[in-house]
This record gives sequence, C-alpha cells and structure tokens, in this order.
Amino acid sequence: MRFEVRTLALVQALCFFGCYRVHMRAEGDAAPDVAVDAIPLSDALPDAPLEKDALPLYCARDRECPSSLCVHDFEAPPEDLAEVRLRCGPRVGPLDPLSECNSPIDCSHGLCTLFGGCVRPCADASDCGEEERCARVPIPRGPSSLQFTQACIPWVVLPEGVRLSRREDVRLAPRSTLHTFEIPPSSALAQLFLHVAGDDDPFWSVLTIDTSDGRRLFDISLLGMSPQPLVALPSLGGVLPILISNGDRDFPEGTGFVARIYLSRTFEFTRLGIERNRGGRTLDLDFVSIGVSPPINRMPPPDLAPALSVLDALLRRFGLELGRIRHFNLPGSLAETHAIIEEPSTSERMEVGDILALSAGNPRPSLPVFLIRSAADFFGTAGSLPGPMGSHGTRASGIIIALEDIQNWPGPGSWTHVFASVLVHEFAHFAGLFHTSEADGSVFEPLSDTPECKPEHDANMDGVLAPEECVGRGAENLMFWLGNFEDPQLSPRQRQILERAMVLR
Amino acid sequence: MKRFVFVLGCLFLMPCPLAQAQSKSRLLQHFEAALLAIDTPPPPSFWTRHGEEGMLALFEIASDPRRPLPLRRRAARALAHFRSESARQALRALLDASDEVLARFVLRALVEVEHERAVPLLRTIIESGKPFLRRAAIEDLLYLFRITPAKDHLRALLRDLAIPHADPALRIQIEKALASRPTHAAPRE
Repeated sequence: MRFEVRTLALVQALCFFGCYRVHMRAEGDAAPDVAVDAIPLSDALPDAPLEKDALPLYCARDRECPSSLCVHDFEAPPEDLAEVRLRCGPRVGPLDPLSECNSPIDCSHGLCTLFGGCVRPCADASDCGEEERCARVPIPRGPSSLQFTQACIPWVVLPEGVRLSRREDVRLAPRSTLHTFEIPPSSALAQLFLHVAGDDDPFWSVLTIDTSDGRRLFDISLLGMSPQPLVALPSLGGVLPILISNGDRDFPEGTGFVARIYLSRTFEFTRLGIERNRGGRTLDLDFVSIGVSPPINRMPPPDLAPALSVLDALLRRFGLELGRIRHFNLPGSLAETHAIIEEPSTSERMEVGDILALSAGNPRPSLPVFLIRSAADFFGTAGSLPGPMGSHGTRASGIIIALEDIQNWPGPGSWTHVFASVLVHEFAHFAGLFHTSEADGSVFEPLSDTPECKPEHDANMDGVLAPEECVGRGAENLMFWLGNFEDPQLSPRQRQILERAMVLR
Repeated sequence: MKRFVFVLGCLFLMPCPLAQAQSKSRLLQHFEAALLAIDTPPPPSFWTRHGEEGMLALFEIASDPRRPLPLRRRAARALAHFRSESARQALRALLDASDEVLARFVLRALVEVEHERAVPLLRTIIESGKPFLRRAAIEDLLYLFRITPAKDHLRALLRDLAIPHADPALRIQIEKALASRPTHAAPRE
C-alpha cells in the first residue's frame, strides 16, 4: 500500500510537472536560451546588400547561393551569443560537413562547432539529408564568444557495429495525446528507440510495453512497486529513449513489441530505431569545461590527468576501456551562466537541458561530459535513463559533473576515485542502469541479480537507506544511490547492459 | 555534605546534555552522509522531519568554515526545504558567506523560502552588491518572474534594473522572458 500511494504520487507529480511545463510553453513563457528556433538570417536581414550579379550577400543555406556556398562571414563582429552571420562565398576549408575540425577554416562552410565538427547551414529540414535534422548548433568565435546557427546534424552518430535500423516521422491526429506503435521482431542484442521532438521540450512517457502476443512487460502504474521485465522512465528532455531489453528477459527471436506512449499535448516527433548486434568495449569521451580548468590543445588539463588514469582502471574493472578523449572549453558569458547550477534536481531541469543541448554538432559517437563548478544537489547527473546514446544536441544528450565540488570532496577517499566513480555511475545511467535501490527503498532496476535494499532494512526508520543499512544489499554496488567510491561492484547482468551501450566502440 | 550532594547532583544531571550532544552529533553525521548523494538527493521530508533541530543542524553545517565547501553549499541549498521564519533568518545570516557559490545557493534558497518578500533584498544586491552576487540576484529575479502569477512589478524591475546590470547571456534570457505573455502558473513549492 505504501508503494501504491508513493507510486501514484510519483506519477501524479510527473503528470503535474509535464502539464506545468507545457502550460509555461503554451503561454509563451521564457524558453531556454539554446533551444529557441532561430530566425533564418535571410529573413532577419531584409535589407541585405546584393552582390553585383544580384546574388544575395547574406544567406541561410547553400541553395540561396547558386554558384557558391553559404559560408561563415568572418568579417562579422564576434558578438557573444549572436547568430552567426553567413554570406555567399567560396568554399573555406578542405573538410566536408560531419568531419572533425580544429578550427573554422578547416571546414567547407567555415563552421566548426563547440564539439569540433564541421557543419553546413540550413533554414529547415528540407536543406538536410535523409539521416540529418536541422538544429541549432553552438559555434565558438574565439576565446570569449559563442554564437549560434542552424545547421544540418546527423540524427545519430554511431560506432561500427551499431546501426540506425529505422526512422519515421510521426504526426498524430489533432488533440491526440496517446500514441501506440509496434516494434517488429529483431535479432539485435539491444534496441534503443529514440523519440525526438526537435527543439521542442514536451513531457511524455511510456505507459505500457507488451509483447506482440499480449504479454505485459511494463506498466507505469506499477513503477517501483514490483519487479517488471522492462522499465521505462518518463523523460524530460525533448527525447524519450526506450531500451529493449534492459532487464533479464532475453526475448526469443520472433518476438515483437507494442508500446503505448502518453504525450502531454499533440506534437510531431521522429522515431528512431537503433540496433546493436554485439557488445562494445571502448568509451570515447568529449569533455567541455564550463568555468573550470580549460583544456590545453583540446586535451584535458594536467589537474585532470590522475583522475583519468583512475577512470580507465575503473572501466577496465568492468570489462571496458577508455578510448580517445577530446576536451573543449565553453567560451563567452554562457560559461558564467552554466558554471553553477542552482536549480534542484527535482525541478524542470531547465539549465541541465540547456547545457546538454550544446552537444549539437558533435561529429563522433562519444559520451559528451560537461564539467561545471558546482550544483545545488548533485555531483553528477545524466540527461535521462537511458540516454539518447549517439543522438547529440537533444536536451538529454550527455552527462554533467560538478568538478569543483568533487575536487573538494568532503567524504572519505580521494577526489580522483570519486570523479571516476561518478562519471561511470552517470554513464551507466545513460546506458540504461538504474540505482540498485533508491534512497527511500523503492526499486526500479529490473535485473534479478542485483542486490536490493528495501524499506524494511531502514534500521533507524528515518526514511532513507544508509550504506551501513544496506551492507550486502547493494551498498557495495557502483549503482547504489549514494554510489560506492572505495570498491565499486557491478553484477554480471549490469555489466551486460553496460556493454550494450550504443556509444561503445 | 553539601559538596557530596553537589557532585551527586552533577552526576545525575550530566547525562542529559551528553545525550543531547550525542543526538546532535548523530544528526549531523546523518545529514553529512546524505549530502554526499551522487545524483538523487533525499526527499525534502528527510530534512524537515527533524523539525527545528534539523534546520539548526543544516545551518551548523552550512555556516562552519572548517567544513568542506561542497557540504556547506548543499546544506545551505537544503535549508530551502524549511519554510519557517527561523530558516529564513538562518539563510539571511549566511548571505555574507565568502564563498561565492555558497552565497549564490543561499540567495536562491532564500528566494524559494520568501518568494516575493525577497524582492527588496534582490533589488539592493543588484544596485550595490558584490558582482558575483549581483549576477545571482538577477538570475533569482528572473526565476521569481517565471514562477509568479502577478508579475507586472517584476517585469518592471527586470526591464529597468536588471537589464542594465546583466551580461549578454543574462540579458538575452531576460529579454526572452519579458517578450513572453504573462502566465498564470502557480509557484512551485
């Protein structure tokens, strides 16, 4: 009964949360600074001067420049947070869009994103390819300015062995807030379904998932009450990822699924199916410093080096390894805005979404890791559980770590171990792992071999499960709600989920 | 004899303050452990169920310069769960913290506790506060604007007071907020 009441309250709170957010947006309240539709520059500059041959000088996309490209106008002032000014002109650099770049002059269009990817500008989706979307991307302009532009970026960037199996644009009937879709049978080791709502930021949630022959695998009304073969949490970041399977159940070949989704209002979205046929091992990381030690030549600063060694050792303990690392710095006044997150984790997480959306234009299948100074109530946080792995630029794409707080770690153990544990803990959420038990003893993890610490183990009855109350019941696990920095463990099933993360090479 | 009675009396009375001290010490340890949560803080009731004692324990952690900064910062932020006059006073007393992040968290917690009653304080800080706190005050004014149903007076403050003191990132946020129509969303508790 206690669980029932708590779960109902949770669902109600989530629904209220969704309605509240939608209400705010519907009324046109303030939108996050990085997720607002940009006005195509060609519209914003009605009096743009014309070249001698009557071609427009300013542009928003290549097709406005018949004999040239729509490229970065480097003569425009590097005003912080302004739109990038584009003009028709010759190709700038040798690298094509989606290549990795070190500087704007490397790229064909002179546009190198915060995450070091060449992009080409767009005004809308019709300017982009089948496997791309037109999104707002951050473009650094020197050490103290960040500008934005609309550019074509891939729906997903995946490593070898992981493929985009299907893509479908979904347009619901007017006023429809329920959507049912079928997932055809697949022999894949794991499938990730991403429902992406562009720059929109709605509330949506999976209500049920059944097998095609009618067996119920997940029901949101039972969330946290009893073990379920599959678990799908509501999402807050304009993207709703569903991982199949994320539990013990290895569904027999030939099993399809039917999922039912609730939307807080009618909106269009794109459904992507990603499949992985064998496990991965190597995790590539892309760090972005926000108000903390900046990188040196796109490599982590020396003060981070010892923590990265510990991180590699920790990943190896779980059968993974650290791959290639790149490190960027967020320039301009946004760095001051985002260096400290004052909003609580229980809020709408507007600022978390604003930060993670800065990953738009990341050209490789890595995990974006934003390093900030301090946060109100977390040392690390993942965009969602599971995360939109490989789909950069959504409001849930990546993880955030409060580096300054960790470097001043107030608990036992060294900060380097804490850094490594927090990063892997958040990556594990991103890959689809839940806490073994939440603070109040509720359990979402659908794996049978992970230890559970339940409310009856709350010896001092303070409503919160402390590590000493959960010895042998999950306190040793990396995914315990308080983490474990000394000797973190993962169960075999947890490791399997981790190996299936779509960003692993 | 008198001395004997006095000693006996002391022995009789001693356990009470000792027990109190032990209880307080346990609560502090308990709170400090919970403040180390990686990504999911305990629910508000975890702090508030201890009542005034809980509030004082958080205040002690937040105000003790010998304690590590991350603990102090989180403790200050958790004080926002107490909507009492004493919590308000505790937060006001913490406003002068030398650590800028701590001061920013204190200010946000205070705004969450006081809502529109915090506006005069925000105004003072924006007009004459330390630069880092001024920025926080502008952000908090914007936060209040977003959650307050009747917002005309906040709109005027943002336009006339905050924008002239804001950096580009903040100015853009304020302008977007001002361009929006008023909402009727209730403040979130």
